[in-house]
Amino acid sequence: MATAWRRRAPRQTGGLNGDTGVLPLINVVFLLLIFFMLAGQFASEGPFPIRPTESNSETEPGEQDLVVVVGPGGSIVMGDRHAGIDDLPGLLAARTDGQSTVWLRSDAGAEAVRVIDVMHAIRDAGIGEVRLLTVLAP
Amino acid sequence: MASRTAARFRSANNRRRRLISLTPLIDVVFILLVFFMLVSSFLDWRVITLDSDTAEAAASDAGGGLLGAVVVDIDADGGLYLSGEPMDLQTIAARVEALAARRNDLSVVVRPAPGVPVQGMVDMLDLMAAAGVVSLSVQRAP
Repeated sequence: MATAWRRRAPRQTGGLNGDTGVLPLINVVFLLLIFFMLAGQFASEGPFPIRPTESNSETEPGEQDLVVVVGPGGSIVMGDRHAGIDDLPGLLAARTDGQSTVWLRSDAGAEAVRVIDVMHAIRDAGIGEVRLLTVLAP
Repeated sequence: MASRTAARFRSANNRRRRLISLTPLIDVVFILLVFFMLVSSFLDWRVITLDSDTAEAAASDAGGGLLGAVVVDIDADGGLYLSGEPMDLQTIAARVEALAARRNDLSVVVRPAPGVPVQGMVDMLDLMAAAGVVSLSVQRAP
């Protein structure tokens, strides 16, 4: 009994004095870090937060080179700068070099006619395909 | 005896202090964790590809591109019209499904009125896609 006490005592003090007490914490933090690094994507939300439109579409979006965002109030952002509906075709024509697809991300509460106007402006810039970005409905 | 154990403890402490301390590592890992938690998004983006030809033709020569297409109008207060006829959602879905079963190349134009949110338009597009329509387009109501 006495020997058992004497044998356990050094291990206990070592655990309390050293860093071994935090090792499980570090393990968990490392796992969380790896999870967030692998599972998350870098958010490219643009200058204002939007509530994404939900749909049942299953099509994968592919590489999004050129994204036009329509905000809740109808404001338009291309890349990282605000644009008016009238100067959007010019800006798009300057930005696109031969590519024919533009991704359109819109707030769910934005006016549909505004989004259609933006689609027309994109077509006026000579871009043939507009893909409306949505998230899967729960 | 007591001095020998003290010496042993001191040497053990020295040996431990010479190892790299874990605290700065934990700090960095925590900062990385917070960074990744804030910057990552888990939104599962999908796309709706819209038929540009129909809408463009419809816009350019008024009515020309609409020939043979079924037009679904959405009112600002949620009223729905199939080819100008007021109808409820189920009837529209059933009629369009019947039409799409007969004609493979059926094209449907969704025309939201001013005041309709994007979500309303996309819901209608979803419904049409579920009814089997392949050629979908949107157009501004005249």
